[in-house]
Amino acid sequence: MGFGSLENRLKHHREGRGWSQGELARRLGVSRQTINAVETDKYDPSLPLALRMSKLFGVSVPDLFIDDWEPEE
Amino acid sequence: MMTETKSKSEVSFMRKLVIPMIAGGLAGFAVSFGIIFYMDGAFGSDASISREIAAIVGGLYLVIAIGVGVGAASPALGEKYLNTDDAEEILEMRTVLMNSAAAMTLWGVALIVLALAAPAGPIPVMMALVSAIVLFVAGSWLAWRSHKASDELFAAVNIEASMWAYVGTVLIGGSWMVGAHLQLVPALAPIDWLTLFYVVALAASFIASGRRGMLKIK
Repeated sequence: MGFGSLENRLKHHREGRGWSQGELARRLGVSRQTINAVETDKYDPSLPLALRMSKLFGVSVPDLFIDDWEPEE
Repeated sequence: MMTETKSKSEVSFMRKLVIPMIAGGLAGFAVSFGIIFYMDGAFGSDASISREIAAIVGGLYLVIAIGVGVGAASPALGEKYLNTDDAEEILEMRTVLMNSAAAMTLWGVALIVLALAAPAGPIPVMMALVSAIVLFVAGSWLAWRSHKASDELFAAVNIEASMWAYVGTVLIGGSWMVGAHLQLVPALAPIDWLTLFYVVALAASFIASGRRGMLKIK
């Protein structure tokens, strides 16, 4: 079973706040490259960073990161 | 609007890729030419291709380190050729870039020292040994500082680059040794192995960065 990069709605939420990648990076304490890599599905953030993102935007982690996987019955 | 976007991307392409490549190519050529010229003179008939390649690779590390170090020390200048959005981004990454550039400088000098070491070269064996150890250790400490100052993406890239470097070394070095064992190709000299580590480590960094989209021109 493979674990590819997750699709995410980070850019959607960031742009909804009118923030640049630099502004979001500053608020999260990471580099702009990290924000760019997450938004372009080149990098899945760590769990602590994903939790920070969800807190910052006031949404749940599954609302930010979309995973189609379903457990077998 | 479309014209503006296109011209901005063309400017970025020129400033962040074409100009640095030309400047790096010229600097690399000058360093390589200087090293070969010096070594042919200093070594006479003892000059070997292996030592010259090692010194050129060490020089390549120096050229890259100087480019990154100058750009990090002067963000206003660095934003013109480093692959960043602006000078502020360089300031944000300054600790990582400066430590990384310093580490590459020390490692580059270490390889050059070893390439110039006795018995064939002009640097006495003990001096070359002590210098190389000090430079490797100090460079590794600086690289560790750079790693510790990195955020999670850069830390992940460093770890992935280590994996690619291991795979590359095993594949290239291992394949060559299979050929050498079967007497199909000559065995690598010790200095060739050191050069291989340097080249593979550099290539691995580019591969890991590229896979995360970090080489896309800004």
